[in-house]
Amino acid sequence: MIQQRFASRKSILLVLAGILLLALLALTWRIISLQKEASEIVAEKVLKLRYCGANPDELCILSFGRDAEENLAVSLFVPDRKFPDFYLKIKRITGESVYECEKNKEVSTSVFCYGEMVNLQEKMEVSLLAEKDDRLLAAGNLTLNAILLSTQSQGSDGTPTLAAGATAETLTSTAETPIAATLTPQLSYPNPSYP
Amino acid sequence: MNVWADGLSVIVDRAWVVFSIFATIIWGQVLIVAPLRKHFRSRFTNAEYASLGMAGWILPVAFGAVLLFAGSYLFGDIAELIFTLLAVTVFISALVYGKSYQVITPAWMPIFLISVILQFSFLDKTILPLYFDSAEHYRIIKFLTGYYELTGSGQPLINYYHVGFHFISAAVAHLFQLGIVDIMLVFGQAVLVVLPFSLFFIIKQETQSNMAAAFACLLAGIGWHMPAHLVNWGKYPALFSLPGILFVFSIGYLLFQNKKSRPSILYLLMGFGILISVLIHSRSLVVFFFSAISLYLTFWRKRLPPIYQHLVFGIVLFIFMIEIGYVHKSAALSPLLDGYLRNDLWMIILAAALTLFSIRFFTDLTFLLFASLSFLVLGLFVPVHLPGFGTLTLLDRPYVQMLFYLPLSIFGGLGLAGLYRFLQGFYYYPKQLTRLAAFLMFGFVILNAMVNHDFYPSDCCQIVSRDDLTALQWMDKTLPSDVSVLIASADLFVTSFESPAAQAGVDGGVWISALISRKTFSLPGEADFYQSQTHAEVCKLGADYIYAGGMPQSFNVQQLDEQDNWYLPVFSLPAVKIYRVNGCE
Repeated sequence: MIQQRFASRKSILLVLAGILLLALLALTWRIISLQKEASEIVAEKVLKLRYCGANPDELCILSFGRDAEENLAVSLFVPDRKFPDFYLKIKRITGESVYECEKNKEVSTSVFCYGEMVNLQEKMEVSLLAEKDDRLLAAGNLTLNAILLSTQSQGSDGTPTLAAGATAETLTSTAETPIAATLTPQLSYPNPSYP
Repeated sequence: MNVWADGLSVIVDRAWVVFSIFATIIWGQVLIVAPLRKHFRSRFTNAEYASLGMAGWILPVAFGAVLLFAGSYLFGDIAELIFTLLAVTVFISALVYGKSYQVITPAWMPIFLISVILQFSFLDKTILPLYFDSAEHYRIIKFLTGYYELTGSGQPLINYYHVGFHFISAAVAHLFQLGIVDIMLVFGQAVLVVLPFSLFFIIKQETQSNMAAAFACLLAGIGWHMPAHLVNWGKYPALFSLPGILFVFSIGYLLFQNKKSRPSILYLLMGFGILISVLIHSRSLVVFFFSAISLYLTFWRKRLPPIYQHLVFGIVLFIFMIEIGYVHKSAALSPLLDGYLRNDLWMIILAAALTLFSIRFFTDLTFLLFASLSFLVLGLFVPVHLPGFGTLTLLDRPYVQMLFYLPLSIFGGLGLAGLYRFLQGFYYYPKQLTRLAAFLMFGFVILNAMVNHDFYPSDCCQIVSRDDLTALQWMDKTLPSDVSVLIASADLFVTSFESPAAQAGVDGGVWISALISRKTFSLPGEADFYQSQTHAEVCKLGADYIYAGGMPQSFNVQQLDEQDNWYLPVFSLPAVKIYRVNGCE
């Protein structure tokens, strides 16, 4: 009787559908528990703050910039959308400065921090602190070596390209070698449109 | 980079958005399949109904979005509550009375899940929706959501002719409380997941072969650079028009099949489908028109004596080849061919080989496809003057380039079915040969995809960097709301009739207006800032600031830096510089 019951194609399909549904439920449960774990890890561990590579996937500093009023702009990459709101504290020989940080409303993995300019060649300890309870989220030791004007050089075919190594800012961490600032792809732009 | 890990990571990260979008699609699917199931009952398999649903979902969703918008505009928040209750009631009724429980057959589930993971890996490397079109789409969706949030004012008039996509996105964003960027990015990938399955119905009906239908779907999914490349172009309305087009074609096929008694539900659905498709992308009307002419030609050809049928087929093929020659010669149009030959050469060769079997065993549908292709290419050369938009063509190159994947995939499916019939005529081992042919075809397409198909964003079209986002945040924080910003642009070059006035943004500056609501003016990126005439022109435009992004066609920062009496740097990051315009008397 059992054989007859399970011999029909419909029954086999039903069983397969059931197995798939169970697999989906297990996957969903796993996803939810991974999310919980991730937020707990963020809650407990102090992350190391460093400069981003070409394809950032961890918390890191994308670039430093400046404005006409000698304020420092710091661009950060935050991989986890649920990363708590934070502010920066930069400790230098001359003292400590607090930098307000704001997540981008549309792209919450991009954070912009803004505050007092840092002197060149000054070593600084950069800390990320949670806005809610001032908990230390991440820290790193960095030195701002130079802030150069960004220049574009004409390639031999007249196509503007970013000169290799011409970065707006360079910085070094005490433990790491300098990494080039954010690079844009050096590909010729489409002509005609929609390549 | 691991496409599987990246895809899963995106799904985890954006779980609520992904769920909301697929819930919307399933809602639409259940509603559109219910009347078809009620009428046709067991005439079609579950897979065929699922396929119809995966094309037709957009009809109830678009209709619902327009209804919700109209209701919210006229009656306020109460309309949202009524709409939600209505949507749930209608959904349950469709499930119960239409018996449309199965939105996807169990056999498709593994392929569906794989497709979801692969397509969503695209978002792991995406900051904002790509290219310059996306900024405009964002702006329109934001404008519409303003009416839901009671911040919109005046009549909701939009100077844009493809508004269906924007209504859908605004409605879903508002109902599920999602960000506009998330909606655009996730919805686009979700449509790419679902779209290939919508081809199953027509091929299955024509060939009576599940394998051939599945092969057409596989080709549509991973065989070509289209339609996936559309999200690199930010052409979301065009992408969203495809389900509607496929649904109309499927209903058209059903009408053709039911010659003796054509149920009125089919006419209703066809009319509804055409209306929604045109609302989403107005050029769908041209596609339907050309398809209707091609269909008429197919019927006319069928009535001719066999020798003339072959002659007509040959003439249409010849005309198509001539048109391809003209496309190849045109600088504006040749990227259509380059795109397929550069990215999909092996698939083109495979489709061409299979077309021979398609011609042999499914002559009428093959003729219809070639006739349609000829008309589509012809549409690239027919000028149309539209007030306010200048001289355009009936169809533009990106649109036709998008559509080409459809007949090519159908040729593949018909061709495989034709190859089966050919092999079954063999004396020795026909069954084994058929299975071997299927294995080789499927394997070849999958292998080609593993080597050539790029699931990540293309470098061609990422014009926004994270420095752009930071710069925009700085601008929003520090610059007054009434300032004007000059951004770089380049000639828009998609038809032979484009005027030099047609310009397109080339860097992150194109998002200034959309994201931070500052007015922008554009100037060609190659503007010479050493020249006083350029400064005079900038002053005449009334630009207070100049935005120089990090793209090769952005403004030349070296020139701007060296003219600091006219252009004072006020903000700099590695990939962005902003200048204040001085010296305008």
